[in-house]
Amino acid sequence: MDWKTLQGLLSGVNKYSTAFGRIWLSVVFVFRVLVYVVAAERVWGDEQKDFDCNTRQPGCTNVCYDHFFPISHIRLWALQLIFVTCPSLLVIMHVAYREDREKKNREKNGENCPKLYSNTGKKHGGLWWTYLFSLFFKLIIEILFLYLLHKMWDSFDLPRLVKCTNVEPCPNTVDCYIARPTEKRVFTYFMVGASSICIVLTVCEIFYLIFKRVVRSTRKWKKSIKRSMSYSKASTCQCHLKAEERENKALNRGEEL
Amino acid sequence: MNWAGLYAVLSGVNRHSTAIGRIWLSVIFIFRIMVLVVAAESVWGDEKSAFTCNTQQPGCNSVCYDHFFPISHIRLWALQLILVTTPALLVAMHVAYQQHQEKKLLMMTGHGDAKHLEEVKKHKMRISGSLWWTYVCSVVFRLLFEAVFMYLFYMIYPGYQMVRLVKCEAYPCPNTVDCFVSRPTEKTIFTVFMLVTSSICIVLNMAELVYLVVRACARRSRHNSNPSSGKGSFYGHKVSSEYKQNEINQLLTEQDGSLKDMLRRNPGLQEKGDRCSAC
Repeated sequence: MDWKTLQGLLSGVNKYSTAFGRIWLSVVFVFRVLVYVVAAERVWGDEQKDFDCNTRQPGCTNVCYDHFFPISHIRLWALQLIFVTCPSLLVIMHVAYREDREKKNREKNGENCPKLYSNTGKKHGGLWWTYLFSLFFKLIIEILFLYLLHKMWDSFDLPRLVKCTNVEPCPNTVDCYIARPTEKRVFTYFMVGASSICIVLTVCEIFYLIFKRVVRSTRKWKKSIKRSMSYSKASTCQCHLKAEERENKALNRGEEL
Repeated sequence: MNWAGLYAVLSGVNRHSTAIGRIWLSVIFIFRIMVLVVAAESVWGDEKSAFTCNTQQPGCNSVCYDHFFPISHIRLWALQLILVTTPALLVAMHVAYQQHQEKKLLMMTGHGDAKHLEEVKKHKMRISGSLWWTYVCSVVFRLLFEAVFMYLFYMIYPGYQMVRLVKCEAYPCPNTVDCFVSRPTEKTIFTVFMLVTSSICIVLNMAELVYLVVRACARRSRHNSNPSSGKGSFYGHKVSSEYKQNEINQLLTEQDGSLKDMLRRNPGLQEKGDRCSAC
């Protein structure tokens, strides 16, 4: 299981996404995953080996490294990318569930029965809510990870020299030098920038979805006023209605008897 | 996602590019990305571990390396290649959008069968109308990114040459310390090679820009001297008795070559309405 497999899993979401969602997916895979794999991973490759402390005290270097880097940037970004792309799988699962339901309905009521859904991939009804929730999850996860990164390393900064104080077994204050700090800072800013762009895209997509829904509802409401007829949702099956009518009739006959 | 994934994404754009665009894409993938992956990366592989300073002061090595190499050549080239190839995705998105519109139109005119839809996917889009502007923008962005990175390279590593010895005075190094760069000559050769290929790509992009502009001007002068090839909205007007007039007109008011191409290739599409004399 690697980034390619994840990409394969997620390319199916493209079909059910809005234009913003497709741009978001391209930004994630080209500017974040690709940059992570071809460039950023190499920069952090020797981070512990080349973390140099001005001491001969055994264990001091290890302890200082652990104190300043509880989790490496690289691992944090890998987790962020996995968590941020996973909510999209909810949408795929919901569409698969709808298709499964459609299939079972066809098996039960025959091939000529009207469909449960006019289009299983269209964002109406439950799928709209699933899509919206997935967007909110993505947003929360992105903001959470950015906050974590900011909190752990004090506004994304990576200095050349860090002073390791009051950490056993280091004596007094020890100077420790981070490997490639400038290059790491450049990539940190790049990844934070790409993350911010993704946040903006997600927010835009949320507004777009809600706006489209409001417009659609207003149009429907105006139409229903004009035609004065009850509007049935696309997801109501005629067979199901007929079955219900038959049941109601049977119940009424039973009550009468 | 890696370079192979990027190649897969961009080779789809190739179909809708000009001849110069295809040459540019080949130069990028063969002479730049491939050289980067199979050769340059191994030259710079031990850049930090083999960077030796004439001192035993802990931290001096790291600090001097960071002072002289704020960002490695390899990473700069990787970022440059990613940013330079990305504008092609704009074209890919625009083409996908146009194909989606064509499919919608086919469904509306009753030709939404698998054969026609497959043809929409396969046929090459003509670079005209709004697609022309998107394409030109993508070429301009490419040029811009190439120029910016060449300038950055010059700013960070003036002269493009890798020296054997650098003298470092940064804290905590005591006084002036001699530091030795690993494989300087090999690095200089690859730096010059990547610089030359970058320049070739800039020249190709400029040529493509000039070609696009000249072609557009030639097409416009042909159009002005032969006004019978008018808008496709005439066709839309005839068919729209079955559909909302506004939607079709909106689809067809753009002077996109794609619809005219489609109608020219499939005269059968006109059988539903009257003959389209404006096409």
